[in-house]
Amino acid sequence: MNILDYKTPDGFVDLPYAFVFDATNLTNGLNYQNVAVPIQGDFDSFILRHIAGVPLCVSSVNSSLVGGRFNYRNANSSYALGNASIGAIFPANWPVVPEKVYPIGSSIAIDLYSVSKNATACGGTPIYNSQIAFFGAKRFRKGSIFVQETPYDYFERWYTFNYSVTVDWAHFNSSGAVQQPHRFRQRVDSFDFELLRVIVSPPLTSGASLHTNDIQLTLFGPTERQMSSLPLNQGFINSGWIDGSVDFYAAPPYQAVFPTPSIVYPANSVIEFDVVSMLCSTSIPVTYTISFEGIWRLPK
Amino acid sequence: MMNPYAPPCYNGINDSSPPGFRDVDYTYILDATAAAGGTTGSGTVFLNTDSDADFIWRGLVIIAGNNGQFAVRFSDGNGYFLCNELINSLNLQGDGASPFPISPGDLLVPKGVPLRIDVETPDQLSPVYVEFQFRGVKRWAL
Repeated sequence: MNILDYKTPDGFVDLPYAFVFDATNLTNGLNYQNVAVPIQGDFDSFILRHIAGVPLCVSSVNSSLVGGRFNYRNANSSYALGNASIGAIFPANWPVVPEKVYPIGSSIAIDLYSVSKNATACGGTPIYNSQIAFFGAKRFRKGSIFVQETPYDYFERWYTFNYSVTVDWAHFNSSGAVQQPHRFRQRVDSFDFELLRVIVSPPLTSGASLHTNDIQLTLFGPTERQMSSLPLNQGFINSGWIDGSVDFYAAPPYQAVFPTPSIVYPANSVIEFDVVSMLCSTSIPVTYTISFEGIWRLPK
Repeated sequence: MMNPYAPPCYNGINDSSPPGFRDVDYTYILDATAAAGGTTGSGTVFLNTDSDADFIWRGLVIIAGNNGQFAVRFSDGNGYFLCNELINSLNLQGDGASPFPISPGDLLVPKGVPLRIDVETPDQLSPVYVEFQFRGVKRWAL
């Protein structure tokens, strides 16, 4: 058996999904244990494959390695890492191999040590982008959901839909309340489209790639199913490389390739997505290009 | 459907547990402090493995404070060293997202058996704080 030729168990269908933990309500400097990320919904189980964003929620370690740490538990409550009461130093992206299965109704219990919430300063009120995203797949029983199967013979062609979004609303409104997300739709015209990557770019005139979480995104599948429990930091799903020094570009810090597994949008459907502004009122408007890259299924 | 842009673990990797066992992703963490100027013997630490399941060691992450350079060698679960001399830690570099592979083959550490790690810091004027992350799986008997 080729271990890389992954097979979903017979009788099941996997759809990409991310459960998101928002650390906004935690207090900086404190430790938290057994904070539950509930696995709830209309599916059979959640398959965890990688964890992104821990450094946005805990402090950096100092030269003596004192500082922020993280641990999490399996579905049976045992720890996934040793050092039960201390945790481990976590990078931006942590692969889980082999994948872990969390049945519906269970939870991913997490420990955070030395909480430090990442934020954008906006006057006296920070805009927090302190999230941890648990990426993987929702596993449904076959027949319980609609899955698009292209009804014609086709060949594949690389194709990208570009959508321009001008964020002209700030994170907070004039009275200080958080503004609602704005919804956008990219029409998938003519043929079925398999979405493989999302790339978010700032205006070319900025002369730089997008290093900061200026926006959060919720992506919807072809049947209006959202692909994350909360809007995701753009960095978590942005496959665009980032600029470093002169002539040097670095891989995306979260090694983002979303959605994985891929999904197919039928011809004449829409790629629907919500955008949450994480910008201060002094920073708007900004226009971003969101590229939906994938495969067009052209009829033979 | 498989996403060809994604690393294998995002798409899923088929269960490779041997018959009668179930492999579960696990990481042993060992935090250690190596004294300045320490030589072999003075900087030996042990990772005490759990007694509940064998551990299959597949990847290594070394996170070091200060300037982070030291010499290190590891033993396997039978006490045999994995190199004849200590190795500069910079030559074993990986990070949590892409650990240094312990390859080829699985390196089995029987349950309850300690792993020995020798650390030398002959050129250091101050202690080196280091976290070893041993990535792999616990192999549970069904």
